Amino acid sequence: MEEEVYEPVIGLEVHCELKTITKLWCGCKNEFGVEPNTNICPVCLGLPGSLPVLNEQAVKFAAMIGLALNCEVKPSIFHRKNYFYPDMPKDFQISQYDQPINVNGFLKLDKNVTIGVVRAHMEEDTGKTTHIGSSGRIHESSGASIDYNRAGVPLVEIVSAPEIKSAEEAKKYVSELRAILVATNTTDGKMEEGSMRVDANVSVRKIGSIEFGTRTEIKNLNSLRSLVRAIDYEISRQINVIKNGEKVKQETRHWNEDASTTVPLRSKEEADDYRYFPEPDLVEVDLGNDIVRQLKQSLPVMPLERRQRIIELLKNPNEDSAFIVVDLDLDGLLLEVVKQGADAELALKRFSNEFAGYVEEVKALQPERLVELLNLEQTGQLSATQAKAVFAEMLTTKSSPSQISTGLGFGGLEDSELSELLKGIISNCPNEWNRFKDGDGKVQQFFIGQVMKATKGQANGKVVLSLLEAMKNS
Amino acid sequence: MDNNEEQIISKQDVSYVASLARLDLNDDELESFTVQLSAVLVHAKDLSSIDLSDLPPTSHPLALKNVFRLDTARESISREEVLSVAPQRTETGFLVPPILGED
Amino acid sequence: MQSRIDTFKFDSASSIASQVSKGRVSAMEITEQHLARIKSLNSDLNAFITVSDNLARSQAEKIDKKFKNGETLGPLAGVPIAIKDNIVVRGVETTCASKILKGWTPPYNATVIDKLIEADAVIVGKSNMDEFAMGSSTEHSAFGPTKNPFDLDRVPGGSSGGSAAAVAANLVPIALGSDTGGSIRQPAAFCGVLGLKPTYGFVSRYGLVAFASSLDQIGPFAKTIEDMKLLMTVISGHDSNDSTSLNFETTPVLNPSKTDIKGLRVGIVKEFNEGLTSNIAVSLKNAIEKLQVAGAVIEEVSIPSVKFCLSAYYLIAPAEASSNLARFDGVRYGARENGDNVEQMMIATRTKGFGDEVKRRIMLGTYALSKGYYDAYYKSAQQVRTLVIREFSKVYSSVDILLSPTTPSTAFKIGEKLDDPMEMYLSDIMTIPTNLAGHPAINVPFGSDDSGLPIGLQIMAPALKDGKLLSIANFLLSQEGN
Repeated sequence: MEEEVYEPVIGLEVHCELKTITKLWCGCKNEFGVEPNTNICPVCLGLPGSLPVLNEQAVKFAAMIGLALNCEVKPSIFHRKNYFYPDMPKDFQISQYDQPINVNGFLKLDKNVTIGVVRAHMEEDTGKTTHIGSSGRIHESSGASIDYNRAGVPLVEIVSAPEIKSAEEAKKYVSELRAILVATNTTDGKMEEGSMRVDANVSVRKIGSIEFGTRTEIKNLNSLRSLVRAIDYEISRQINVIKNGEKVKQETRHWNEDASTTVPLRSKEEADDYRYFPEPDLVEVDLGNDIVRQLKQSLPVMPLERRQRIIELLKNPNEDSAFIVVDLDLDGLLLEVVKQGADAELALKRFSNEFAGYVEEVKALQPERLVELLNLEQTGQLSATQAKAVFAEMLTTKSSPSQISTGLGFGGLEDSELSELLKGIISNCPNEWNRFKDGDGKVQQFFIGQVMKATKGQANGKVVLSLLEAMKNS
Repeated sequence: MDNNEEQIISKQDVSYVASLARLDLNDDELESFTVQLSAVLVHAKDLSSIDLSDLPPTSHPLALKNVFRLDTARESISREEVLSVAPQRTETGFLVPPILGED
Repeated sequence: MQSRIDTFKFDSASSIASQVSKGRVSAMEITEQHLARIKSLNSDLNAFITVSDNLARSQAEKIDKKFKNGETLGPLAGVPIAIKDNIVVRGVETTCASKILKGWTPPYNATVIDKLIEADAVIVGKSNMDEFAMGSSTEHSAFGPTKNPFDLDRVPGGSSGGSAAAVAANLVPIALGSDTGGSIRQPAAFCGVLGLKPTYGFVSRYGLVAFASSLDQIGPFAKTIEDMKLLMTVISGHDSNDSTSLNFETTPVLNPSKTDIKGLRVGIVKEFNEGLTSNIAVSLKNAIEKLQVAGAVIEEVSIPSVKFCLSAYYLIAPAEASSNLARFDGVRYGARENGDNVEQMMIATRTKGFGDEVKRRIMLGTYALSKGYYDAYYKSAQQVRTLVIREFSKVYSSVDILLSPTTPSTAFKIGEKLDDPMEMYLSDIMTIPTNLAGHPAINVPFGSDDSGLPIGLQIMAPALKDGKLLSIANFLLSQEGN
C-alpha cells in the first residue's frame, strides 16, 4: 500500500491551568463554573491604567512542572503577544517567548520511549465566548457574550519535541503528562472542563526522510478520544493531499467531533505577526538555585516510578492495571497490603477493578482488613463472587471480612454438602461426566456452573474442581 | 520636510501596518501617513550609524527582579458597575457582534 | 497678546492646607472659590475636560466634617488639585482626551488618587491633554486645545498642557501630570511653573492610562518648591499594585541632608547648547552665573548619545503605545461603532475613535515591532537606551547634576507645528534622554523671552535624587529676576 511510505511526525502543545487560588496577575479567584463575570477586576479586565503583578505561587507551580519534566529552570521574562480578539481584555496576551522559565526537558513514556519537552512556559488564559443566536452555527448567530472569569488564569504551556510517531503514542504522552501534572498537584488535568487543552502539530513525510513535511495545527481536542481520532484523520488527509499531487498548507485546523473531520480556520495573512516584545509592566523572574532545589525536593515520586514499583512485584507485568492504580493514587495502599502478605497479582486485579470505583472508601479501610479479604479469596475460602459481596459490605459496615463472610452465610457449605450436591448433578448428566472422565477439560466449567447455580454462587470453584478430580479418581 | 529624502516605508507597508493595528485608512490618509512615517523613520536611520553590537537591549530603566504577589484572594469588583459602562451587554456578559472564523 | 495671568491672590497648597487644618477657612470655601475661578476662566483656557464639582464638594464636606469632629486633617487638607485626564478617578469620566473613551467612568481609583483623598486633597477636575498623552502642545485633544495663559494664541505645551495652564493661571495651586518624553517639564516651561518628572518607579503608575509603560511617570506641577515637596510626599512611595514601583523609604529621598550649592558640581550638556534661541541662551547663562556665585563648580560635559535619543524614543514609545492602546476596541468600555462582525466593529471603533496623532504613533510602533523590522528598529532603540544609561552614569561620576534649557524655544503658536509631526517631536529633544534613563528632572521657570513668555531650565540628576533636584530648583527660583 502506498500509505506505508509515509510516516507522521507529531508534536503536542498542552496548555494546563494552574491550581492557584487566584489569577496570574490579580487577586481575583481562579474558579471554574461560577456565574459569568463575577471574578473580575480592573487588572483581569485590562481596564485602562491597570497593571499586572505576578502570582508567586504560579511561578513556583510552573517551575515544579518544569522540574517534573526534567527541564532546566532558568531566569525568565514575559513578552506581549499582540493580536486582537474580544475574549482577550488587553488585546495582547502576556506570555513567555524567547526566555521561558523551563527548557530542555523530557518525558518518559516507558522504558523504551522518551519524548523531548522543548519548553514549558507561563502565560495567561483568555475569557470565554458564548455565541448567541437561533442556531449554533456561526454565520447565523446574532452575536456573542463574553465572560472574563477565566481571563488571566495562569497557564503553563508544555511544548513537546516533534518526536511523537502515532496517534496512540500521542495519547500515551498526554496520559502520562496528565498523570505527572496531577501528581505534582499543580493542575487538576480535567480535559472535559478545559483545564487541560491539547493542540496537535501534525505533518507527514516519506519514511527515511530527514526533513519535516508542512505541518498543520489542530485545535479543539477536548478528550483523548478526539485527540486520537483527529490525529489519525489528519494523517490520512495529509497523505491523500500529497498523493493527489497537491501540497499540504500550513494552517490551523479545527477538529469537528460530530463530522469527524478537521476543517481549516479562517486564516489571515498577518495572523502570525504577533509583534512580541518584552512586557514593560513586569520584571525578570529568577527563583534562584535554593528555591529551585527546594521545589525539586518537594516533588512527589513520579507516576512511572510508582508503576514500576508495582510491576516489580508481579510475575506477569500488567502496565494498564498499574496505570489505573497509580492514577487513582491507590498504589501506596496496594504496596502496603502486598507487604502485609496479600498476593500481588490478585491485589492488583482487585485494586484496578472492583476497588477502583470506591477510591475514598477503600482508602478509609484498614489495610489489614483488605489483606484478610484478599487472602480469603486467594486461599479459596471465598469465591470471587463472594469476595465481591464481602467487599461491598466492608465499605459500609467496616467489620472484618471473616465476620461479614459468616454473616452472609459464606463458607457454610462443607465439602460433604458439596459432594452430595455434585453426586446428584453427575447422576443427572451422565454424558458430561463421561466426557470429563475421558479428560475433556472443557466440561469442568459445566459442572462448576451447575454447582454455582444450585448454591446461588456461594460455592468456591476451586473446591468444586478438587472434589470433581477426587471423584474421577475414586 | 525634506522631500529629497527617500521614502523608506511604502504605502503597502503602511496599509499592512494599519490592518495589523485595526485601523482603516482612506486614500488621503494613506498618502499623508506614508510621508509622515517616512520622515520619522528616516530620522531613525541615524541609529544604524552607531555600533550597537556590544550593547544589550534595555527594556526597563531600572533592573528590578522577582516582584511577586502572594496567592491570596480578595474581593472582585461589581459586575454591574463594569457592565453598566459597556457599549453593549447581556444580563451577565459583554455583548459583541458575531465573531467570524470559529465554531 | 491676550493674557490670563492676572492679580488673583495666589494661595499656595501649603498655605491652604495650613489654614484649613487650623479651621481658619473651610475646605468648602476654598473649593467654591476655586470652582468659581475655574468657571470664569476655563472657557478661555480650556484647561479642564471635566470639572468634577460634585466630587469636589462632597470631598470638601467630608473634610470639614472631619475637622468639626476634631480629627487631624491630612497634609493636603482642602487643597484643590487638577488631575490630568489620563489618571483614573472612580466615578469621574476619564477620557484621555480621546473620543474613544467618551463616557467611560472608571470603577477604580489610581493609587495616587487614593493617596490624595487620604491626604484630604480636593479633586476639582480632569485636565486637558494631548490625546493619550501623545503630543507636545495639547492641540491633539478631542476636546479642543488648551490655551497658554500667558498668550491665548499660543500652546501651553503638552501633553500635560491642561495641568500646567491650570496652575499657571491660579485655577489650582497644584496639579498632576504624566511625563513620558517631557510631558510635564515642557508644558511647565511654556507656562512658567515648576514641573517634576520623578525617578521611574518613585510614583506608582497604577491607574495611569499607559502610553509607554517603560517611560511613563506621574509627577507634580506647582508654583513653590514647598508645594512640590508636599505633593511628592503624598503621592510617592511603593505600591504593591505596580511591579515597577521602587520599594524604599521616600522621606530621605525627598529630604536629603546635604543640599549646599557651594561645591555642587554642575554639568552643562554640550549637545544641548546647539540651536537655542538667544533669550534661552541668556537665561541659561544667567543661571550658570548665579550658581557660580553661590560656589557651584560648572563643567561642560558631553553625552554624545543624546543626539540619538529622539530616534530611540520615537521607536520605543510608539511601540509600547501600539500595544497599550490595542485594548481600545469597543468591546468592554468607551465608544463603539457598529460593524457586521466583531472585527469590523473593532476597526470602525478605532478608526473613528482615535485622532491622527494617535494613529500615527500606533502605526509607527506597530511597524517597529513587526516581522522583519524588530531588530532594525525596536531592538536597536533598546540598545541605544543602554548606551544612554551608560553615558549618563559616566557623566554623573564627575558631576552631581546637569543643567540645560527645558525646551529649545518658548511656547509656539497654536497650529504652527500641527502639520509637521517631526518638527513637533523636536520640541522634546532635551527632555527625552532622562525618560530613557529613568532619571528625575525638573523644570524651573527662569526668566522670560522678549515677548514675555516664560523660559524654563531643566535640572537633571541620577535616579532617586528627586529631593536634591527640588533643593537646587529652590535656589534657582530664589535667584530668578535678581
